[in-house]
Amino acid sequence: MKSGRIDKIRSWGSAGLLFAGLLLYFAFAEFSVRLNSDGPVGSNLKFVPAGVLTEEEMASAKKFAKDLESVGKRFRGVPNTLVYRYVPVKTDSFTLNSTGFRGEELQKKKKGEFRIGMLGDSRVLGAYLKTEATIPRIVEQRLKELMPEKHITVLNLGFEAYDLSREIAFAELYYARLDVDMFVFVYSVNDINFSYMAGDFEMTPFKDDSPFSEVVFRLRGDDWLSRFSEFWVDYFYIADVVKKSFDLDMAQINLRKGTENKPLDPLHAAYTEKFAGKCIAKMARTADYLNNEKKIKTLFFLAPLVEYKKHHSRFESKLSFYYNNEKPGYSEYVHRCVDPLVNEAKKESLPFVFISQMDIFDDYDDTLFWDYIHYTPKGSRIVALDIAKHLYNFLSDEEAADKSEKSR
Amino acid sequence: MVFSSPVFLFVFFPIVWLVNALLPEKARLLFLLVVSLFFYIYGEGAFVVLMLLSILFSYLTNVAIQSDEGRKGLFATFGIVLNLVILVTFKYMNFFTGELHALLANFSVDFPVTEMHLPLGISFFTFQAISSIVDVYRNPKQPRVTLLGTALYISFFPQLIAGPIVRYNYFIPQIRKTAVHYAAFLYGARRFVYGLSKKVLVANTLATVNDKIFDLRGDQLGTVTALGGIILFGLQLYFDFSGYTDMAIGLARMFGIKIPENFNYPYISRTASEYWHRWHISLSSWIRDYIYIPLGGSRRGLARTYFNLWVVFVLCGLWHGASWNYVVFGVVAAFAVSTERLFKGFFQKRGIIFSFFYMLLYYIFLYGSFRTGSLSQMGEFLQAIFVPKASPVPLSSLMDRHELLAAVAGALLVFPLYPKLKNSVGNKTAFAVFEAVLAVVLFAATISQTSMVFSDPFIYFRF
Repeated sequence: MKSGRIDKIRSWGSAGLLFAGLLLYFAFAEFSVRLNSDGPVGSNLKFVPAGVLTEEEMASAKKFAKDLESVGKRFRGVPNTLVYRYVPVKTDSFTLNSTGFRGEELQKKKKGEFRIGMLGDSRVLGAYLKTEATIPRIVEQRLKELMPEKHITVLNLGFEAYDLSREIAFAELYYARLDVDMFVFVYSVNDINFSYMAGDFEMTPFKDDSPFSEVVFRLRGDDWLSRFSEFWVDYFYIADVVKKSFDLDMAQINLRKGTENKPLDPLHAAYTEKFAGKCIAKMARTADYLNNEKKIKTLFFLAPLVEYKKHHSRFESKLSFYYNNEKPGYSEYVHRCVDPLVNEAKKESLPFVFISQMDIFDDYDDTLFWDYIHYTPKGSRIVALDIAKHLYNFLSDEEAADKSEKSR
Repeated sequence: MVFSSPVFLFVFFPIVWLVNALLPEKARLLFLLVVSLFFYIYGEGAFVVLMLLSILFSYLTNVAIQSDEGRKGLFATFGIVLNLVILVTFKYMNFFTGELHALLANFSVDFPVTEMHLPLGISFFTFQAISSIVDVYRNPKQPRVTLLGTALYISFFPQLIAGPIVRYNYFIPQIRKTAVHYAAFLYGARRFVYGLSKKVLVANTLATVNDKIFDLRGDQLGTVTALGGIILFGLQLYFDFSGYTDMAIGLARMFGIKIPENFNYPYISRTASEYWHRWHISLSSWIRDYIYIPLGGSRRGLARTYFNLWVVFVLCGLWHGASWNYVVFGVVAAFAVSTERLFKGFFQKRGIIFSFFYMLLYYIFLYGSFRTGSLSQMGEFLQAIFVPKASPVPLSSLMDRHELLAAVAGALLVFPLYPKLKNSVGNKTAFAVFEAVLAVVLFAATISQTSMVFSDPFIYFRF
């Protein structure tokens, strides 16, 4: 028996049926998305404001961050809280322990345990990621595989919006309490962003509760069309899911195209000249202090910018689109900050590793970033494995050096 | 825009389907062509020009063939060569120039190498274009070709990016009337959901484990881990590709067009020859009809038959990608099929145990060459499998319970249990209700999962 035609509207009844079917489809999809979603738009991530830090903490924090006026502000997460970071999808919510960092309450160090404190920003914290996909966790697993005899644990000491100064200040503040054997500093975009913005913005361009400015990061428009679309995005998860995936699908744009060899504006040109020197000074001072005075091993990683040698996937375009439109010349600025830093660090023999995301990401077709900064599980894994590789080499060299020292 | 992306599921598809249904039937083909081109432009931008060129070459060739049958061979050859130029330039030029560059470097000769972008689905649309030329060449008396028909045939979005490769003579008669009946729509919707769940729930989950396994260094691989990696990759590849095919078939049915099946439970095959009759059927049959048989097939003596077999399988390997790994892939297939042909009697007499181990061996080499990034990595995997060694990184440590569940479900679903269940249930109405409920549950599960993954390119997109 042949059934009737669904694609031929003969009456108001059949039109109504079609419309009802469509509504049912969207309603069911919305329900399905909500099954696996965290909650309404927003974030309950909060920072401890400056006033809450103790005198001792403030003094300690400032010791290594004299050049950053905002050091006391948004210094760490509110201790003992349950955190979710808004995304239209489920990220397992996680707890901040009594130190204000992600993960379980710290246990007393076990005999034979080699404890690494990994400091960093939201990439290390693992914004948008389940705990098992965060960089510290993957590094820990990898090092356990590679050096099973060493009983390595890696503490996640990353937090939103940290820059090198905050990381260093934190290391100074808590090294004894955490009983670490090694600090790994993973600094990425914030130092460069802050320095880039310094001429135009306040040093802390954040609103009260949000770690990032709505204006900059959500790119809300003032026209009626934007308001209309934002209305849907705010109330229907499915609309937000679509928007996010649509954002990730924009056409390819070469990040550095057209800016190479062009002079930067004088203000930013001046900052690029200062940047490497400042970072080198901070790293040298910290490494010297931690290595020699506290006998804690230290290694710095810098993974600042995403660019690709060749056409890679449609997603990167969003990143490029953002930087090209919101921060024209930003890519060039990053290169001019980073290149001298890498050369200087090499010259000074600092324990410093530059991670070229351009190199490590080029073999993958997958989407490696959720947004302009934060990694997907795959992106996080690639970076983590690279960090683990360098850490393994570093620790193996150190071990060999220790052995030869002892044998002498 | 992959079929499992929110943009496709919640914007593109509902709008396109609804507008298509509201349009007068005469306008639908043009509308489907426009949205198909938009679909491609969305993913590949200006590279749509290549597809348009392919459409134009094929259309003009076919018009010429039908106008002057006396010179149809010349026209057909010219049209096929033009399509092959597009394919070879954009798919294989990097490989050839890279190899030449490496070779000449030994003699201190250097030349600049420009990287060529590989446009999505180029292997599929050029093969369909060639199919249209060959089909019209073989039967020029068929109804006059039209630009709209040829363009829609080559660019029809459900099968544009990753097939199945549809024959011209199969597709064109259908678009003369594209009525969508309730039963066909519901079948299409259900088939689409099945495909979506295969991709999202099984293939994507297994991909996570496989990424970990194939990221391991040679010294970290043990026998179980390496073998597990090959088996899990076999499952991932099947559910990824057959999932896409199910979605393509389902989508096309919702627009009133039938697309041929591409898989028929390949993992129940007892020989490599049978495997190629069950796996990527549209490619195997395309190669058989358009290359193997014109080369003489098995009609020109034993030596020529084996030569033809090797040619088509090496070409089949190269169709998958321009690298030595895919050449090895083709060689493995050719070797297995030729051996089976040579010792036909021996293979026919073997039991199921022999078949199991024989096919396992075949998959080790076939998928080993397919998944590993280089010949050296393939060597590491083979060494780990054939030189027994405990795994420093156990397979169990690389899988969580979701991944284990996906692997078990995948391993069961490669067998034709579903058709058997369907046949064994006497009450057809009850089974229809079961199918509807299953589709609804799978849809909810996949949608909630899909919203978590913004981009998950299908493995076969790169071909």
